[in-house]
Amino acid sequence: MAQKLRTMARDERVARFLDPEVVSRLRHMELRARLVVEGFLQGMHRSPYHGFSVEFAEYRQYIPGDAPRYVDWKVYGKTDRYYVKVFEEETNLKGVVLLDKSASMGFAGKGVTKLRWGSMLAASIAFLMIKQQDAAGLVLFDDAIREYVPPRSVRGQMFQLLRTLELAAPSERTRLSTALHGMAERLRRRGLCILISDLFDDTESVMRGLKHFRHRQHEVIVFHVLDDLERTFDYSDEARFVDMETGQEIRSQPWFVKKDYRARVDNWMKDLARQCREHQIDYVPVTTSTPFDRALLAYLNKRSQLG
Amino acid sequence: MFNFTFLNSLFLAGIAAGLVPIVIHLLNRRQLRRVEFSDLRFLAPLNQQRMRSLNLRRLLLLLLRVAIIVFTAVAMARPSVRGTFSRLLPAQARSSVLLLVDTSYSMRTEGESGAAMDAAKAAAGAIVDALERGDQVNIMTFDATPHAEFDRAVHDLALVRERIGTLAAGHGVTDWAPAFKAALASLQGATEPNRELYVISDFAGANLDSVRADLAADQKDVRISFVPVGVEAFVNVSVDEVHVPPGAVLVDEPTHVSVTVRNHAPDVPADCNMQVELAGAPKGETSLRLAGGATATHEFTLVATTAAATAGVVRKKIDRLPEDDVRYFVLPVLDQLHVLLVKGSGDAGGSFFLGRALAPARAGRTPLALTEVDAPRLATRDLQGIDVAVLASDAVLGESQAQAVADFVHDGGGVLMLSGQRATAEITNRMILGRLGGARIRGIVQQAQGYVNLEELRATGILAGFKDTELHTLEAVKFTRYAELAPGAGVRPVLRFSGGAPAVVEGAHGSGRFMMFAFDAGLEGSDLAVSPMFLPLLHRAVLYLAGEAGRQKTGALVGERIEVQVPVASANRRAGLDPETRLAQAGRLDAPASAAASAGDGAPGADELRFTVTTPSGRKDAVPAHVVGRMALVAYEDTREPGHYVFEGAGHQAVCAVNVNVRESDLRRADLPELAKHLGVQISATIDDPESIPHAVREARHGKELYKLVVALVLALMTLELLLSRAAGDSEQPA
Repeated sequence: MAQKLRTMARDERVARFLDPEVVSRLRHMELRARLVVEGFLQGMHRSPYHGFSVEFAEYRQYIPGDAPRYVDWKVYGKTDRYYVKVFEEETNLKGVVLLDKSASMGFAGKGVTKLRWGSMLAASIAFLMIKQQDAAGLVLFDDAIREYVPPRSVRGQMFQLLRTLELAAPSERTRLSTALHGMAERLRRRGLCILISDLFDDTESVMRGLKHFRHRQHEVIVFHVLDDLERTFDYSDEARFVDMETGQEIRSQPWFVKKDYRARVDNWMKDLARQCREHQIDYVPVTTSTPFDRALLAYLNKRSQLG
Repeated sequence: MFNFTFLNSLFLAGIAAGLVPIVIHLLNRRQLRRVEFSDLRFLAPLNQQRMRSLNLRRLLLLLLRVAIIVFTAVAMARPSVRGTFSRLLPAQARSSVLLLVDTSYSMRTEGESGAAMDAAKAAAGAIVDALERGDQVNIMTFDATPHAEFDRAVHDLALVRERIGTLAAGHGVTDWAPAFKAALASLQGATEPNRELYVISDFAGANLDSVRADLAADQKDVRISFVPVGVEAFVNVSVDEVHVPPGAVLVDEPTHVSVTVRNHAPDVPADCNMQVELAGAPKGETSLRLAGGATATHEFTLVATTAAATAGVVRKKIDRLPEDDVRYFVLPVLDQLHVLLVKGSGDAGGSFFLGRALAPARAGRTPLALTEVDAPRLATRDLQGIDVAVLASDAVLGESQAQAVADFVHDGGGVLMLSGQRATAEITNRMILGRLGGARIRGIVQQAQGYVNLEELRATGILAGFKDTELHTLEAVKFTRYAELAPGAGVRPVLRFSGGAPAVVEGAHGSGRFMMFAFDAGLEGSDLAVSPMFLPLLHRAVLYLAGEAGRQKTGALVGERIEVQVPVASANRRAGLDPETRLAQAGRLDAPASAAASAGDGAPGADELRFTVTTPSGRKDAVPAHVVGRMALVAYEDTREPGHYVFEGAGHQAVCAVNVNVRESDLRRADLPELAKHLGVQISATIDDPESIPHAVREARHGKELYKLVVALVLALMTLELLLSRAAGDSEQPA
């Protein structure tokens, strides 16, 4: 599979999002769900359903209708009662990457836009999931859901995802909460939701949307993508700054306000991190100046160490 | 108090460069880079707070930069300051100083410690004493006209002091506007940068209503200081006017001369003793009591015994301003008037009464020499030697006769015409009035019932000297028939009937004068002929019209041009010049006298028509004359002294009186700010106290240059700007 994907990555269109070198680096990585997820296939993730797999879970009394082959005759011989063995089912992961394509994601300081950076991250995550036989889906949204590729683990899914990503372009205003609530309603089975966004929306609304996922028992990872300039406001000249979403215009001397600006952004990020932590959401702040693969690998390593 | 001037004001144009930082600021504002940013939620509130203080700082920086440029330009313009505290400052500029000294006659006012002119000279000397080496000075005296003592300002202060010592007051009145204009123009050509004008005057007699000038543009950077001088206040009484009745005065005939005196002190009454002299002999005196600010008129009755233009003087008791205590006048006294009565065909026009009135039977001497002629027989020779011709209302003249009469008037003769006859009205219009011009008879008004009177008669003009009872008597005359006169251009009504219609009109034609009565001397149209006022009215009219000496202006003010007419016609008449020749001469007013005189056989030669003018101080000047008809016109302009000016030439003599303008007699000081306002100039200082003149002048005139201080200020501003811009840099502005 990995070989096949590496071959795919050589395709020019795919290469825009999946650099062969990145693919090579990810080949040994895996994205495991920390929480219990629901899948249709057997896989590497714990399933909430008890079946008849290799991992013993418990005994329970026989109920008419149970297959006689799961009756533990040894226990019957000792207790004269029918018990059947219950095993933990291991299933595959159903993951959805939610990529914010609002206008603010079109911002690029000195490198790529946040949307492109996020797209590459999304592609890598999808690649990782599909590589480990999990189902990967994709949602593009701004103030509403614009594209939705349902999670699947079939061979052509990666191409489908990449094509969707290729079409992604910064568009309207962000309304994260609307998109998050909409997706939370759509995803009925527990799974992994990965949000890639700059989170430029009302913090309370954003957290309400993320909590909706948590309410549905989904595991949530938030990649908070910002440009370095958005964090540091490290401009040199006086300029007229125009809000990419609202068109609001402000004349400012960056050297005069950057200190306070940084403090405010830091506070905002700390607040987001605290709230995510409180709701068992992985909050991963990243900047576009960091190569996305490095950021992803760092996160995966850290995640694997935490178990 | 500080007063700023700039010695190199041209550099003040550099202040405009102060706009450069503003323009750059505005351009930078317009050229700001536009940066798209993902979200301004954190920037917007911050910007509002921090940018307010930053904008304030930048505004301060901008102001500092503008101030640096402006003050640099100001420093280059060499500012100088004057005033009380200017002594604290170092350095001073050199000055061009003009002393504008009033020499009007009010400066002759005498005080305990000398005349006002002495005080002015002392003040001028004190100012010069306060000047310093390198300053240049000029002196300009003025009354009606300004006069510079030096062609250009001099640096030799000793020479200036010497010239100040020779200054003397004249007899004119102040005329401020031309004096200031000349003074400011003189200072504009000065070479020293600091220009100062000191006006030294008693500021008396400045009639602000007559002062109108806008000299702000001429003043430029000239600093004007008023230095009022004068003597202690006193009660000044002036002889304002001597009124001599119009027309000729006959020998031995009484004439009434009225004298007006004025007390210029508004609150203090004054006594006025005055006497009148004629030809050097006292003729009367009187004493008047004048209330504060009041005027009074006294009438003297004079009888001249010599047939000549007789010089008269009214003197009052001399006070501290002697100039206005004397008033000069001239009585044109004639020995006898030659009158020609042109009669009509019958007695309807009142020829009988006219003849009787014009030839009064008087023992001894007859003032009027009457000749009578019937109208059809009138010839040109009849008019020779005649002073006044009287045309009865029924006298009908032919074309040549009418032309002869018109020529007679044109040459200086007088004509009195009576009207009221319906039959002759149209002929009179066509023949006489058409030639004399200006008036016409519209028609004859016949009152079927009732009558009209003369009304609103006053003792002026031809009625001057008539008493009220005489005027009432004249008003009582009833007119039932009269001519409706239409006075035209150059003709004025002298008397009017009740209802407003003109009763007597007068006009001029050439060198002569004519008068027309709207009534005649017949008994059918009025009872004038039998009125006691008929003879006085007729005599007064004839005297008024008589001869050139009675009509010319014999009085003028100091500085005015005098013009007198001296008869040379007797020679012409003896020579038998025909009217056409005389008319041709009269039309050549500008022709040289000699040429005009030589035009006729036996006429006076060129040397005979050069007149000698003897001024009141006895100086004799030769002046040319212009001959017009039988008159020689002589003009004289150098009338700086009051008194009698005697013109002699061509065997004749004329006298003209020149008096001071009593406007200057009101010695109250003008309101100086108002005077400056009327002149359109700015006064920098008024130095009132004579003792403090040197101190005040030094304080006022010392221009302390401030460029060093301004340069220091610029450096301080630059340092401040540097610190402030650094402080702005501390807010993490990248290098």
